[in-house]
Amino acid sequence: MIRAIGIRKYFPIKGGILGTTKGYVYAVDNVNLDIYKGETLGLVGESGCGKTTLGRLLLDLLEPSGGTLIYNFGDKESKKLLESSDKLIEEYSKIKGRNIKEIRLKEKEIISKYRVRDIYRVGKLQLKRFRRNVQIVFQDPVSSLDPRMLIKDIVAEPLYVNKIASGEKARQMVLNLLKEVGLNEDHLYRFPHEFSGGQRQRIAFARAVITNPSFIVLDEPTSALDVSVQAQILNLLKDMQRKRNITYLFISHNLAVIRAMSDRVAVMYLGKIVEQAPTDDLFEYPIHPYTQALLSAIPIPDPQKRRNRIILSGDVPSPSNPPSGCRFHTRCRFATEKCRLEEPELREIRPGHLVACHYSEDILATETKQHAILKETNVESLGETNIEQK
Amino acid sequence: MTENQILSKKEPILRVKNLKTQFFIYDGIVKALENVSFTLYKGEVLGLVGETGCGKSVTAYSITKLLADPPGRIVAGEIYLGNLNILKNVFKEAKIIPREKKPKVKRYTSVIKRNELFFNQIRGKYISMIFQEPMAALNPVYTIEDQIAETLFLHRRGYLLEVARDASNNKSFLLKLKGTLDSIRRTNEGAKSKNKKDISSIEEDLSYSSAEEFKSIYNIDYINSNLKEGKLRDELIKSIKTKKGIESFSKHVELLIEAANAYEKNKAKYDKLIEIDKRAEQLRRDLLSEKDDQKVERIQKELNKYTKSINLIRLSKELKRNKKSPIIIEARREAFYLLESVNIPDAYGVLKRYPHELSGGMLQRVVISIALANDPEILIADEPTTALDVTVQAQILEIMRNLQKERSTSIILITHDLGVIAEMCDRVAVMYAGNIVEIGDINEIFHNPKHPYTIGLLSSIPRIDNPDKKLKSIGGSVPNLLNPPSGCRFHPRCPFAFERCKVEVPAHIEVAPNHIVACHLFSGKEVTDY
Amino acid sequence: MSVSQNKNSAGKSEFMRSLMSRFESFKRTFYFLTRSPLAVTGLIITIFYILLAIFGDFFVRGNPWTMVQVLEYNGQYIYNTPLPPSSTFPFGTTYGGYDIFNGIIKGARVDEGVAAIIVITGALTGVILGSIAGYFGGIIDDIVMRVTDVFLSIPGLVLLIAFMAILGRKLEILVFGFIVIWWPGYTRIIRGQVLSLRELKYVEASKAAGASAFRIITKHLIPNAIYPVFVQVSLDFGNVILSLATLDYLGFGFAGQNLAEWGNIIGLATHGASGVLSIENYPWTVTIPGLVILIFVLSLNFLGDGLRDVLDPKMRR
Repeated sequence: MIRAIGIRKYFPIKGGILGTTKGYVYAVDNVNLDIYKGETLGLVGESGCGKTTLGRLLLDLLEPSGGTLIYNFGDKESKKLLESSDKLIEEYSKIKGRNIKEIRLKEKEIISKYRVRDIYRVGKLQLKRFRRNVQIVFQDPVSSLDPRMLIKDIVAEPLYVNKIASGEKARQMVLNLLKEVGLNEDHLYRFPHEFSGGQRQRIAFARAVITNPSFIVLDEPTSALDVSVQAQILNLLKDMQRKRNITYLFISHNLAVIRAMSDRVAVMYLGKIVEQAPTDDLFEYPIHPYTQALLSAIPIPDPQKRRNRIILSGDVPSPSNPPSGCRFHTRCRFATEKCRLEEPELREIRPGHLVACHYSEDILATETKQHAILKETNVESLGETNIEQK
Repeated sequence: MTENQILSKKEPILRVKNLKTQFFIYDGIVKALENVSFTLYKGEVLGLVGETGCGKSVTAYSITKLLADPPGRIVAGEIYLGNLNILKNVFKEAKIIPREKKPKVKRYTSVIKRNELFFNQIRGKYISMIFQEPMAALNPVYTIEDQIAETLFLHRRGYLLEVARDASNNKSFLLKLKGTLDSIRRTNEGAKSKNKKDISSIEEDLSYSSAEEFKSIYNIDYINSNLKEGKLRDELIKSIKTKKGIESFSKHVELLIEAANAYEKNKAKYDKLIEIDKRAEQLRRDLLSEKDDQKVERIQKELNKYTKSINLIRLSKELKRNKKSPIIIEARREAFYLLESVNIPDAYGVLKRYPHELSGGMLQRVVISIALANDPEILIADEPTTALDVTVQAQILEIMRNLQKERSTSIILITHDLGVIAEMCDRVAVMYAGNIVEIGDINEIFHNPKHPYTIGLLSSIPRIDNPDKKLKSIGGSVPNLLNPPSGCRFHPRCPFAFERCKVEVPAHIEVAPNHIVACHLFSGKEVTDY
Repeated sequence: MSVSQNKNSAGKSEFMRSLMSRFESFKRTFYFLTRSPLAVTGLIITIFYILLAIFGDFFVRGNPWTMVQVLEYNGQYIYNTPLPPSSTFPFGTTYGGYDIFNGIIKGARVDEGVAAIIVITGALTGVILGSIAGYFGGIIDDIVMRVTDVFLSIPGLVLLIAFMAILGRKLEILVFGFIVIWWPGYTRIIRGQVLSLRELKYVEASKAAGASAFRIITKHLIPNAIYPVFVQVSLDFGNVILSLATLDYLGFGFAGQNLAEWGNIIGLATHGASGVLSIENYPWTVTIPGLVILIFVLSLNFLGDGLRDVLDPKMRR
């Protein structure tokens, strides 16, 4: 349903007296992503990896530095565009490097050649239709609702803005939706600060759903909430998805939540997708060394499962100065000279399971047999073997 | 893995009994802690877990008396550090006049000030605390060195000077040591690694023969055989144990010599200071072991006088006048050692840096090193890794675990993350709405939870090792503590609640060895000591 | 009930309910304000002054805009001899035989009215320009801010004096001049607020829903950014009156004319026959109007401070 090709977002770093551009933060660097209708795609990674930026780019809330974004809402035009997009993937993959001017030029060529009318280049009318069909829910329940507005106005806003309904009809729609998310009529006339975090997220979700969108980006929707409230909200999200057949992009740094919610997962590191697979596959056979480290770092709520840790040394490098070649090579325990020189492509290693690592096959063969990251281990039989990176 | 037998032989370090804390605000009284009791044993890690509003942070602030006052007040309870009830004088600080609409709190500032002096002795020395936001925990306008030194000045001035004195007494040995180290380094000029920061193994940048020579002096037996028992010997052994290699060791020796020289410039003054501080140390020890109330009062008075004399403003003025004081040099060396012990790369360079130059993970390590600088008996960690990335969290937890094992510090680990609790803790206390609802051995609680809230909590968390996509949730939400539910505070959300729950507050019952629950569903022996 | 009736009553009750909610919130703010005794004092005195301005006319005689002139009293020619306060002239008279009490009461309306026009117009201009600059950023922001900077760097009083000199000493000119000086301050305030607010998530959410820039600015940004402006407005009221008085004192205002305006009353004294000496010999001609201004500005300041404390988001719980 959604196809993103060659998405890039480079934030310029300005400095000096004249405010010249001294460098760039390569937040999202040449990402290809497909999202299928009705699924929940989990996007996971640590802070600074670019997942939040990518989420926004997919909704055209940010202007990309490069790339094409194709949405298929079922109409003829979109379908045609989607069909021709395979060619585009090929062409875009030829654009390498990080020079914005070069990238823009090359993209211009491709766009005029194939006459691409994707979301970033579409007309006003279609953009409006697009906005009605996609929505976003944010992490912070405090700042995502205007503190000066009544709940009913907050939830009804998308209706007013898109001229779908107003007045009494809008109020009715808001009321019905609030009941669906577990609130009631009295809450219509209250202010956000009178509600708890969990309730505010419900309101934010109601606002997102009221125009009946087909795609919602959920940006860490439960990270600021308590554990028991989180479960309620996640269940609500799942119910709504079933009822209305919504496609979700679930962004989080919490792998446990991702596992519970997603059908497929993509792992990001420093602006690139390093691994992508169906959920169970990713958690049981993680191939990319970063994914493995990430999974092993997460403490499991079971005192008898204290296990082998892969402890990465150092901190995440700055996205304004990413390492050469494979971005993870500075912290990777398998890194070789090749990793330092050449950037690995995202390749399909097993069906549906893509990895960006030169040694994916080797890792799959040996590591996952021995490592068994999520297997049960008795505490006694464990030594504290930390595989520290040099 | 029930260690109840071992546990009963363990020594209680902190005993909290019937702690009741309230906040007096515009809307009324927030009954934050209703009745919190628990015991912390030596060397254990006790987890305090619960959601927002359950009172875990308030408990920590009550123990260290860092409660925002106004509007918070501890209204009842006892906290025993050793034999001393540190809350004894706290109730004299304010009088609460109950009134119809809003009780008034009258505060006596002189009593508060006096108690503050006392708590300043306790905080940092016996009980240390680290907080959630590493970025906000350090003062941005002071260097790392200065901030670590601050806590050392306040609590270990005497010790620092004693090391300097001992170094001066054994200066010849130190000079000889330095000579040897220098010659080893010289003969390795060419072979030294380009990246000076990367010295993790002793032999890494030394040629074979030099490595042998170095190993002969960089070992505990050598130090033992050449030095009599004393502070200098302890310090050198400490440094050897960090295994940071020749550069680090040389630096330590250099600084020791410098400190010795500085001490010699004014022996009389420093000796006097050492005596004063030794007396204070003795007083502190007496304070915690003394049982006679009157004697305790006297000791406290004397200690307060001492604390006043050590206040920071005077200290910084004195130090400004005296930049080459052995106290400063020793503090710097100690800070260097502390940074090394938390595995900060290029520890000596980091000393002179400012907080904004370090990342969150690094800052939290600095914070931990400051907290442990004075070897406290108790470390309270309030959500220490919540603000950090998962991979950084793993590093920090590892450091905490290692340090804890080394020094036998007791830790109260506060978090809402059950995974961290499972990883780190020996026992865990589950809190809800101002009460401990369940407490016990970690395996018991996780595999055999009894309280409905604990059961609900455990089944509502998503797990990475569980492919099941169904999440059970606990209905309702955390109660407003302005008007908490009557009886058992969990009853409105409890699927098993019955009449008694609405009326009577459940007592703490021992349902299994080292497993206590506060719930009417269970009957058994009521315990007050857990 | 017919559908239209239903809709109507529902619409009305909806409006009422929205209003009630807002009123509740206002009550809370008001309660916090009353916590500070200074703020309450300021509020009471300010209200008093405002009432004076509205209803003052009923208590004094003569033309509402000009002061009453008495040339002879008790057989004395009092043009150049101010009379001290007495039962006939509660505040005495000043040079030119003007009844001070009369002038003060009338002056309340003039001063406050003028200040209101200036401050509100300035605030409106500033708010509009500032929010546009803050929201759009980039080159629009640069242009607006440079223009604002230019105006801020012109010394206000000098500009006013120049205006008056060239265009004549008329009230309208003065008001216009003041507005020109005053709006840049508000632009800065709003721009700063908008800059920080536009990053908040609810703005993004609106954008995602497809809201136009206009809607975002008017419905989301301005209502949330307006608090410091309220505070500044209350303070500026006083500042404008002070500036007017300064001009008059220096002689660049309406001295010599009989406009009922507090500063002018002072001006009459300082530019009367004995000039500044009048303060020694006839203190009431200067101190009384001075006190009137002082008390008003002080109350406004108290009120403004109180508002600032109350509207600080941290206190809103």
